[in-house]
Amino acid sequence: MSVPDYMQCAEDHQTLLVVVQPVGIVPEESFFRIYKRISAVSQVNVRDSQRVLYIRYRHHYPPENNEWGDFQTHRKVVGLITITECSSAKEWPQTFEKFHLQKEMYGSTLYDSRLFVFGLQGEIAEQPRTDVAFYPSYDECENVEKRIEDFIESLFIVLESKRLDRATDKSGDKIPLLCVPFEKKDFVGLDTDSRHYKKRCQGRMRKHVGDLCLQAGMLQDSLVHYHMAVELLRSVNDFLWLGAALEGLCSASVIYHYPGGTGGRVGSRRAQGGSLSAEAGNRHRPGAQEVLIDPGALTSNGINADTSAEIGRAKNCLSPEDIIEKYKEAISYYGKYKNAGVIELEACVKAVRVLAMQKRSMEASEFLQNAVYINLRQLSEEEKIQRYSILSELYERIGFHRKSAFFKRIAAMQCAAPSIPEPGWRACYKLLLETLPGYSLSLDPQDFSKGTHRGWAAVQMRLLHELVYASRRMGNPALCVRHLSFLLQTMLDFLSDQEKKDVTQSLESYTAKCPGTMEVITLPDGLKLPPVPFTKLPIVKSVKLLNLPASLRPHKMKSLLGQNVSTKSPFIYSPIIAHSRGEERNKKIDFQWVQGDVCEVQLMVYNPMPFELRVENMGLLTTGVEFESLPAALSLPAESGLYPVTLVGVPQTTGQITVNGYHTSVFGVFSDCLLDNLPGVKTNGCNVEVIPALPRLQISTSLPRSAHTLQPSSGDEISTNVSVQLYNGETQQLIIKLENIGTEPLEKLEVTAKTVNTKEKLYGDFLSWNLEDTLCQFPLKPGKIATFIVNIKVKLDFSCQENLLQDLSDDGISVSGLPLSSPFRQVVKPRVETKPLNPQESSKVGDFSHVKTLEAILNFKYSGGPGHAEGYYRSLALGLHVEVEPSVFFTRISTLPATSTRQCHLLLDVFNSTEHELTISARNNEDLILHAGECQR
Amino acid sequence: MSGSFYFVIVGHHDNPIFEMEFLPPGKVESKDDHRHLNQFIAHAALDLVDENMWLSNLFCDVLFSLITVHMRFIMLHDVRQEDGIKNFFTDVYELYIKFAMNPFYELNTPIRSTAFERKVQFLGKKHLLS
Repeated sequence: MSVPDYMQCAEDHQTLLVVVQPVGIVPEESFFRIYKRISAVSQVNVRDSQRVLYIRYRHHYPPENNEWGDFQTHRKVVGLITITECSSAKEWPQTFEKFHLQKEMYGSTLYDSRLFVFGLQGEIAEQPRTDVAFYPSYDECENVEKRIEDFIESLFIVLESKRLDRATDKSGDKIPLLCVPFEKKDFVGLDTDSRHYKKRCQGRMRKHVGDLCLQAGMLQDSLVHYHMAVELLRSVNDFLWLGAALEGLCSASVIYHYPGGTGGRVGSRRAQGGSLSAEAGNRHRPGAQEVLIDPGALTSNGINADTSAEIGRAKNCLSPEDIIEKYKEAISYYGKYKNAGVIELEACVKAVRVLAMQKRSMEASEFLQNAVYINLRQLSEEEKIQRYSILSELYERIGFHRKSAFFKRIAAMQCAAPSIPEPGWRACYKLLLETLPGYSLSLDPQDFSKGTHRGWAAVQMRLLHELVYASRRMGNPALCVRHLSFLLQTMLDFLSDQEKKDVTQSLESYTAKCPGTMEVITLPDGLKLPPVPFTKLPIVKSVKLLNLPASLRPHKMKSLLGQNVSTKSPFIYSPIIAHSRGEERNKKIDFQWVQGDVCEVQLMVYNPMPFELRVENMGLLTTGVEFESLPAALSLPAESGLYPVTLVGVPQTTGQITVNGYHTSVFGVFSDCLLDNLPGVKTNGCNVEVIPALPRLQISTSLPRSAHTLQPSSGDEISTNVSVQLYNGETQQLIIKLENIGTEPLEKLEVTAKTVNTKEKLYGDFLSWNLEDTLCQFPLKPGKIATFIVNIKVKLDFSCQENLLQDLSDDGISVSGLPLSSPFRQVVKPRVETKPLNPQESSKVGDFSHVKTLEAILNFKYSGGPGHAEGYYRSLALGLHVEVEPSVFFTRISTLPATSTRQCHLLLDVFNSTEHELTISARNNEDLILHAGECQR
Repeated sequence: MSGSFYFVIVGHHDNPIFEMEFLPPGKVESKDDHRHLNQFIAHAALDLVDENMWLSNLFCDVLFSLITVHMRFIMLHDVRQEDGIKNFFTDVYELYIKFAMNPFYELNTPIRSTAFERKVQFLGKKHLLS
């Protein structure tokens, strides 16, 4: 016997082996359909007795295994069911002939056989025959099960007669010596009359009867027979058969102890003892129950064997510990025979299954270890795979997941061994996948983001490489890319620089053919491979949503809500409030984005790779609002530090927008990285309100831009700064072009001005405008320009120098404050300041610090479109920087008595400090022309 | 004749925290493939180690010693040298305990200390290769 049946378990000893085979041309599908129906009949309650027969069906059974049938009767093919298709009566004889041929193959051991003919109709089909059943088609065969039951009953009759025959003829003349195939030649010429030989024959026969009893459902009897056989065989040192008798004893005890079965699914494991669990209740075995109630009952069945009643008690049964001891003994006996390797191996497997049930992993592993070293013969590759797979399965069963994975991997490697002409990469891949749990590896990258790394990274990496290779050889590039990206993502910390390079290179070469996607790959067997987003390429450290630039920021009209929050408390400062607000800020963002305007998010990223990382197509992932993401491409230098990246996009609708993450394309793999899954990412919140669209205003002025930037106190920034140089008293028009560069009509405009430095005394209106002129051009359609004119008037007091007073007192004039109320002064020129200057000083006027600056901010509040309806506006500030130079000075003031005593002449020395000619006009229209730098009276 | 040895300390999550190979003098560096095999074997052996927790610490092909903190020392060897390995384990265990008391060493993380490495190397030479 050379082909081990790794699926064997102890309770197989009580089964009858029936082979179901097709003959002629039978479609495989139909055959297996029938086979399934047949094999459903695996337990039969034999009529008129409480015994149960168990049937084991095989559709393939090597005849050489059959030859060991005497050694262990469950190896004997006792029934043959042949399925054939026959369409016409002409083919019938031929078909029948084939059936007979088939029968001959197992002929020596068969108790009975059946032929199921499908498709034949007519007179042949109508003949009633016991060994042949005719069915018109595969669909119309309702009574198959019934037929099988009848067939099994007939098997039982034969079995029973054999059992009785063998059991009773002990007194007989001569007991034939049962032997296994390889023994036959050893016994040639042996003295058949010796006591030794007789004992041997007796022992073997006793064992055989035990087998038959077990098969016939007489557990207690079989135990007795086995015990006797053990005694007999031990005395003659017939080790092989002693082993078999011991194993039989074990099997019977196992069947007694574990009615739920040992070979089945893990779910059918049950506690020791006789109590039946609910699940096992379905598989309830009346025979076993019977034993529990009255072990002697079986023997009182009328078919009494020679076993005396007093030993037919449960005490014959081995205890769970003894079972293992006896298995060990049996296996050691088998081990003495090289030719019994398969028996030994199978016994090991059976013992392991029992131990697994007893949860004695250590001992089970010893048996398995032994099984590993049993050398059969040169195994074919397929057999090797089978062997390793079964070892793996058994290790799994005793809870040795890592060992199990180890053998499974070997089996997988065997599938694709170089010696195999057609490597089974598909099988290899499938087996490799099954090993993953044993190596604490899951294919979901999310499992790796939490906590420390689990498992042996070097081993896991190797395994992933093997998966990649196998999937490539399978011709599934998508799978290959998925595994490789998984390797890169999860094992990044463990890859050396060189390995990083190698992996990315191969990844790039694969993605050139098949880009990596974010779709879940579903394998044919239903396993789902979740997508692998590259959250570590590059690593994102923080995500910050940016406010719009100041000029585009929306403001809520008369919104005081912001301030109210903080002033609700009666305390000026309360740590509690500050704290809670701080937390709030984590989630909520206190600014808004505007529909249709470009919004920015800043990411701080770094590249962990030892080479330049090219990230393409990087954009934002958002929900809540339709968002048009404008992807960016970036290239990060090798092992860069933190590197800011700004991702932009345009919200297309309004509402709450949530920035969930970002998407990238690295090495040809597209990834969607969700922030929730990223550990250690700092963010200032992800929810922003998007408000309806607002118009955008661009301002251009007639004046040159200024390098000065105003630092306004209110905190809002100035978008444009202009500067102008004016002489004191001068008026200039500032033409402001308002261009609507947005997409919404500009409906409303408010202008306010604020002078910034208020140190200087300012007279009159500094800035004046007429808004109506501009407003009549409204609403301003997108792209249209409106003009807005602002008059700048500068009237400054340059008279604040202290030497003025001094000069004046010299003149004996007590009018220190200057007659500001004097009508003259109002008229002289817009506003003329007096300043006494020494002549020599006046020459320095140009570079003098007399230049004063005036700064003002023009605030344009505008709104329009849907945003206006919601009550939002935008404000735009224009900074105005005016440098004021003095124009004329009154260098000296004196009075002359006039003709009337009530009047006097006021003499003013006027000095022109400008470089231009200027005209001074007084009320009496007396014009005086002053040239630059001139001083006149 | 002395064979080659592969020694590994395995942490809580089956993660190796220290690996070292001892080769007899004159033998060339083992092949990469061979190292992988060692790792696979050691990994598979963990099942037995865990099962053997309360049992003896001597086993047919693979020897191990257990530490209360669930650090597992595994030695793969191709020649029988029980005493040497036992002594080696005892000494390395002591060394490891000392090392683990270093407040800057976080338990269950890979050991990256040249001093530790050197000492283990020395112990290996002393007990295994001599």
